[in-house]
Amino acid sequence: MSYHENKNLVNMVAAILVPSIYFYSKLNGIALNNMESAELLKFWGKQMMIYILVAIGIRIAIEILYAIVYSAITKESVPKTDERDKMIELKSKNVSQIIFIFGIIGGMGALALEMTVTTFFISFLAGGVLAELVENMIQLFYYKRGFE
Amino acid sequence: MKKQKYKIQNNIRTLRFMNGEMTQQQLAEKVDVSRQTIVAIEKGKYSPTLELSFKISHVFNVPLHEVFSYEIVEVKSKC
Repeated sequence: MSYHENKNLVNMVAAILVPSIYFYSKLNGIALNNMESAELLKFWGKQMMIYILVAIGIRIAIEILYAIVYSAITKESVPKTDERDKMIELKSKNVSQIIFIFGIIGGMGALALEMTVTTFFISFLAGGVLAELVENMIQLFYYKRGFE
Repeated sequence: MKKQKYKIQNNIRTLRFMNGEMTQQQLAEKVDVSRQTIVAIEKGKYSPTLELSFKISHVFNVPLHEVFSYEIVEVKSKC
């Protein structure tokens, strides 16, 4: 497998593990049902802001670590991003953005159906995770099969 | 059942061989892309942009049509 194919697999694992571990550790033992709407909004807003920063930090760390491990194992330098990589990224982002938008719309739908704020944020988060997974899957597909 | 389809074919492998057995890595460095991209182009898994196509033809010092051609190929139909 090439550098990019392996990186897609690493990103997919990270896309599942990072939010799972983060939100499990933050939500464990917290009674969300007992919170009032304003308090719940503040809680989720704060958690999402911290999560975004944590996710960016972890993503950068994974990128650096992966490049170091790849270079050490294969004795090759990390391949530069070229037009093919950009094209594949563009194709995958087209689909992933639609999925993410569906996550947001789903969340708004949940609010319209008078579900809790938690449902909105979970839908928002699920949309994000699913979008990232699909994005990496599509990239993996194009790297393996190719395109004209 | 076989179907006819237009496909971009290339002679990069032959041209590399004729140019002092140039490696894929060397060609990749000359045209400023990754080796994987050269591999994909040679296998017909990626059609390069016009700019990259010209860069490749300049490396081999041949006109573009000697590197790439647009030909009818037979592909297996799904049904």
